Amino acid sequence: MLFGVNTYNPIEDSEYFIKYSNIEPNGVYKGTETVNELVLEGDYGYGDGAAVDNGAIYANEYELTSMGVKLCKVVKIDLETREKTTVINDAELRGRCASGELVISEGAAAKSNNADTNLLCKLYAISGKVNFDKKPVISFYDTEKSQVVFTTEDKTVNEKLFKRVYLDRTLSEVQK
Amino acid sequence: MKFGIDLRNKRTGADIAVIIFQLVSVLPTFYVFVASGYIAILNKRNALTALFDFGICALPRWETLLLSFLYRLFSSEMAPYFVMLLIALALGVASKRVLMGSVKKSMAFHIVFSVFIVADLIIRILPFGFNSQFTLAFNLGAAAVRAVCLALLIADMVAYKRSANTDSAS
Repeated sequence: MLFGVNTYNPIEDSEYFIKYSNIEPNGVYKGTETVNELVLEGDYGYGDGAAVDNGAIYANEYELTSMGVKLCKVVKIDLETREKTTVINDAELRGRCASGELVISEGAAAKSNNADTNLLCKLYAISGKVNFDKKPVISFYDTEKSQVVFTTEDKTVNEKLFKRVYLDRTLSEVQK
Repeated sequence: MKFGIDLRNKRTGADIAVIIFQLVSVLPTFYVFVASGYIAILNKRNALTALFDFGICALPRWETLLLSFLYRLFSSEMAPYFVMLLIALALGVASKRVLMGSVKKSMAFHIVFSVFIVADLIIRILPFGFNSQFTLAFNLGAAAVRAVCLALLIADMVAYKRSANTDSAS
């Protein structure tokens, strides 16, 4: 790349942010845009929601295969020990619902994977619980209990409807 | 063509069944090799994608699962296919040794191979679902391949039993 890229993406209202850069390592940083330190290196997702809760960061971690199939999982980064643990494999964090639980699309392939044409996505799906033919399961993850508290099948067809049905409502409203 | 495991200089049913599985193992590699040089193929449907679909469906279940686990493990599409090619090669070499060896071992190979094929066919019929990503046409084609291989093995075993009975009678 000809020019330097150094993007600053704060996570919620915290002092942590996710940096995409071709000058410094990608990853989670602590501090301001100008003065900061690296917390954990890696390709973490910002656009689809990242959260700070109970001394940990929850974010999507992306991994590209050699031919561009994008694998995604939700990870938890402990801010004290700086250890990373997988919360849910083959899943994508989509944000928070109105009552604060994390909304996760489980068993879904990353949106950039085109299962209709890319056969390697299908092969990847065989070894896991990912099913390209079905809609993903939406899980509500309680960060205090560190567990999924409610699951439902995704009934939405696009991002706008997803926001209205899951992110703008509280958990009890979704359960009704 | 004559079947029978004692016909050492002719292709037996088991030989042909092994060759079919070897050919099927090779089919998906064409797609991956082309994709490694021409990545735009990932966004297109053509004859190679049909070969891939059919090849993966027609592989034995354990081989397909191994392939996808390796794919997940290495995040690389090339490495698992080399492993698959090695498996296909090893199957050919090992089966040749066993089939040309003692009659007892050869019969055991026939029985074990037949059991694997029957198990594969049953898994295909039962709604286990981990191959639902592939279309029905390819799944039916793969089931037909298994059925042909099973028929070849059974024909082999029947031919051997008959020849054994004839020998004992004379």
